[in-house]
Amino acid sequence: MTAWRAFLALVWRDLRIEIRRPQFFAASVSFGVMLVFVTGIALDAAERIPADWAAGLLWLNLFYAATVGVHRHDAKDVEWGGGEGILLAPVDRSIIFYARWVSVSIFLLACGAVIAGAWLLFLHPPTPVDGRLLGFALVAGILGLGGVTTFVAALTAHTRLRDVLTPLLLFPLTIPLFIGVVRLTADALAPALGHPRVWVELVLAYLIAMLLVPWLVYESVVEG
Amino acid sequence: MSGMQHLGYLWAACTVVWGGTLVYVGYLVRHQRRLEAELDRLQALVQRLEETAPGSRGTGDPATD
Amino acid sequence: MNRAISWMAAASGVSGLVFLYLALIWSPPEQQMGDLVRIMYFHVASAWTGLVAFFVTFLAALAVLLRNRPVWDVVSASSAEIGVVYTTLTLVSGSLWARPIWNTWWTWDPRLTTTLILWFLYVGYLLLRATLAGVERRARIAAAYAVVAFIDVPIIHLSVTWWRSIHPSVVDDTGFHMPMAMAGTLLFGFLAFFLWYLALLGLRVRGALQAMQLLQLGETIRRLHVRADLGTDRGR
Repeated sequence: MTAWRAFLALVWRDLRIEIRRPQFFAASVSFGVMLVFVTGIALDAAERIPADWAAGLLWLNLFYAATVGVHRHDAKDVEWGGGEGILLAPVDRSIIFYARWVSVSIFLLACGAVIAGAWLLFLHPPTPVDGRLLGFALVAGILGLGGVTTFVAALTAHTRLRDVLTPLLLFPLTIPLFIGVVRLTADALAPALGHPRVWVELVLAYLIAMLLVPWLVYESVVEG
Repeated sequence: MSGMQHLGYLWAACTVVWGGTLVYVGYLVRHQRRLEAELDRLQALVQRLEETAPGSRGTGDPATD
Repeated sequence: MNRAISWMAAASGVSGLVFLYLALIWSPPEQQMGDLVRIMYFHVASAWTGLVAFFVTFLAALAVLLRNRPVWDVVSASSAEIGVVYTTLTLVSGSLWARPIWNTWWTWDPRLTTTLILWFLYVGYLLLRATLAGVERRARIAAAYAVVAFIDVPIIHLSVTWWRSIHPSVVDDTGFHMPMAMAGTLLFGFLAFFLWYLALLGLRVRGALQAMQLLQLGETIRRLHVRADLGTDRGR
């Protein structure tokens, strides 16, 4: 019960910091929308792009936008000493991992919704046929991305090259998730392509594996 | 696809694999030599310092340090 | 340890020469690929060695997380470095093989794609190690990453395989049936490369341990300097 309360308190703390001063949200969203916009320029303002390409571009932009701000929590925690305070809390370290995962995912979901809107607006993908599948892909993809991002951010927090290393470690680790959600999104845009069942299973398996294992090793990552 | 060209790719692959391995071995051995030289130097230094440091068998004369 | 490494080096040198003889001269050419099939022996043997190296990295990383001994960290890092070397050799020799028989330097073959992702994963590991401050922390964080990365490998391979098999694939590389002479050569290649791996690991671990010794000696010297300074101050 105390674990649950600690979890809620930690999530609420992260969200409150975000809501109180939403500059970071504004910056992330602007960056994501701009990425989509520049992609449109790179494609020479294409009138119509194939479903496969549209799906891949959406997720490429989402993943890249997600890596840009992963260290903001840590920067704040170091600055105010809050991070050390949290580590002193008498709860299991995994609670801290899950709380951060949830708050990062909520933040990324909000960003992702705006970026997906920009993607529909600028890139003219085929009109989504299967809204439920697209919704599942977005939520599951962002949950997985949030989890792995949280883990990788903890790994690279103390490195000298963390701005480069974070995406360098994140992308290879998330390749299965990336392939899975890109295929699901493509299926949602053009159902003829697909075998969505396989990819739903893959994405779920990835979520379970990648969220259990970091939890097992998270303690030794944040220690000290 | 001529026979000659085949052999070219074969030799290239062979050279890359074995040459690459040998280059890595060379790097390790050179690294090792440098480390050993440095270790010897420091060990000699430690011995000298221990002899000159007060409270040890040395003379305690700072002039020899 | 020095003697063991010398023996390993001798054994791997001899087995390497025998492997070269078997692969280039003794084994028969293949019907369709001709002499090109000989690339396979080196390619497959390095791929296998790379995978073994990463598996050892994973085991040593587990040992770091469970029992915090510095030597496991050294083994983990050394094995990952050797693994990256062999994965690089696999990728380059694979490319040199794909060019004449598939007429392309790169194909999105599941195994090739997985190997490249593996390469990125462990280059990331080496860079992570190289830029982390603090010996203790580096050991813990690198071990956590190594464990997660290795557990990710089968999922990556599965996803890439599904991805490529669901798409129509131009290149079909269903394996050919190997005659005994070829299978034997390949098996001997595994053995030879494994000996090379062990010798390299020994050499690399010894180097890393010596580097640690060097750091400790530097520390000793600093202490002695301080003591010498204090001593001369008191003497005056």
